[in-house]
Amino acid sequence: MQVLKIQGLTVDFSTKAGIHHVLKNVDLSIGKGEIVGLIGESGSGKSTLAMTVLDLNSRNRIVSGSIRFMDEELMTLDKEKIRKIRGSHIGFVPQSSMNALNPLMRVKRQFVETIKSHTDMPLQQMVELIARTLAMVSIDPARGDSFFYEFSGGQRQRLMIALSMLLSPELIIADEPTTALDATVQSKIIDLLKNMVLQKHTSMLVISHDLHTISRVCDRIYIMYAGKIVETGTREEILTRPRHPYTQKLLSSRLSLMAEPVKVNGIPGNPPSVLKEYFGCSFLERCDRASLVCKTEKPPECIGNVKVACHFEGES
Amino acid sequence: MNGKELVRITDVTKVFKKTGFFRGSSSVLALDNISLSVKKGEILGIIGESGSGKTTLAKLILGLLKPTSGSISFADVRNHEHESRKPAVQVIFQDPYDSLSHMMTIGEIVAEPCFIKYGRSYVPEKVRQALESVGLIPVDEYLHKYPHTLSGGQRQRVAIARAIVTQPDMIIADEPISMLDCSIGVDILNLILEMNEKSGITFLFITHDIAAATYICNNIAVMKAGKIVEYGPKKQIISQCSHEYTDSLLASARGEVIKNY
Repeated sequence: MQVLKIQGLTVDFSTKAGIHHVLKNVDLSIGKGEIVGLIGESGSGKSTLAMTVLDLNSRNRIVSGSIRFMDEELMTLDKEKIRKIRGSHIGFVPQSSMNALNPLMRVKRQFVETIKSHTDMPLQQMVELIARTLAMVSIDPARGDSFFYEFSGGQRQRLMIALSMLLSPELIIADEPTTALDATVQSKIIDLLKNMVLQKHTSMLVISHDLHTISRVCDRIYIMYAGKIVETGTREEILTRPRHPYTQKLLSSRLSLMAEPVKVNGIPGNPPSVLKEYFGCSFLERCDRASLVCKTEKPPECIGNVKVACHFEGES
Repeated sequence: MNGKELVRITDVTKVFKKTGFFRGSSSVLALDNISLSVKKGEILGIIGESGSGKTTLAKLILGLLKPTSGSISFADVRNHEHESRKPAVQVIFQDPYDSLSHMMTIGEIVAEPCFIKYGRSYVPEKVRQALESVGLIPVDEYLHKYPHTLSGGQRQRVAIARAIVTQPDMIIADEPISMLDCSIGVDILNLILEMNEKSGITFLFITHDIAAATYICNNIAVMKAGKIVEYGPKKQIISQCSHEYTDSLLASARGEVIKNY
């Protein structure tokens, strides 16, 4: 069964500078118990996708398409109903977890606040639940009386994960959970995410720009470029047989441990502007394989059985 | 001090005193008896987790902080006229979104160090050269732009241009790629390598990413809790590291699961 099914999602924002086309016809689905990765560079629209599912960015937004969560259409629900779903059925680990909690409230009170706004649990049960969740992310429950700023970066991230898991939601969206953390802490957080999903039987959408770190936990991966899904597949498919030139370049720009100097190339050029509409392929200017057809015709969309949005898919 | 050394740090200890209003005072030992030497023309990597004292070390070398005990000495360098002087040190900060002033154009930002160093008599051509050498071409297009119109990678290039414009002998790069996407970060690393090869600038490269350090550094020092726990050439660190912290860093870079760290 699909926990989340997004079809043809298009999101534009109207500003003084014009209309920003942020997401273009995105299809994405998450099955039960699955960990799905959404990878893309800054400004490609990853966070907008998460925010749109949670309906946190409705200002100046023009949206079309469908978002189905557990056979319920989220696009037609009113704000109050979505608020009920957010937190209890969809957990969210926001991007800047370093300063996502209120510094003036003790951690425990912020956990209680979340529970109270969704259920009528007696106090004793609440305290037990919080202690159990904190223990799960290996934070001493006695530290619930501390303030958020008294924790280290990795601990804060774990607190945020604990908070998003608190009410055992069916889906957790983690936005850049490892960015801005140390390398050793990163791998611990990754393992923690994986364990939590196994223990709580939830599904997870992990958003990141770091393909190599995140790919360790994902079952399936979507690669996003300029508001479009350009490639999708299982982890093995993406890591061993990348087919879209962007995915190939992302993989080859990884730095590995090497004693001998080898030249690694990044991806030249800049991501395209969201203000313009592209007639051809949006990766055109940075692609080695680009030819005339890329300029004049739109590449196939990543919908249904199409796994790669490139004209040359299947060749070479 | 022999001829190859540029900076020598001897037994440096830095203690931060914290005076709380109600709790009395407590102190934090940020650097614990560190000795390190930076050779001319090398890229020295300093790896460590948050709070291990990497940035404190950088600030001490920059003279932004004074060591509690110990000494930091700089070798004399000679310029083309064979006059000896102390080396000039510049810095690239971690976060290109915060380190550039929003109220100044790119041209003003890059010209500012010249302005401070040479007064009104600085050569505007140098600003153009600096921007050109970091790959912000065509220069005229960028000179009058403001930082908010640039992407993260471009901003970091501006920060590097600002660092090289006064032709320093040494640049301290404090986590220059940790805020950037990996595909853009590689370009910045290649730029640092190019600066090192072409202009012979010594780099002190501070990072928590051991893969990035092994990509560009000649020598690597690993820091943990204010101490240097391991120091050696890159090859030695990768193939025969002796400290368990280095081992766990290498393991996480290879993508292995870390059990007990």
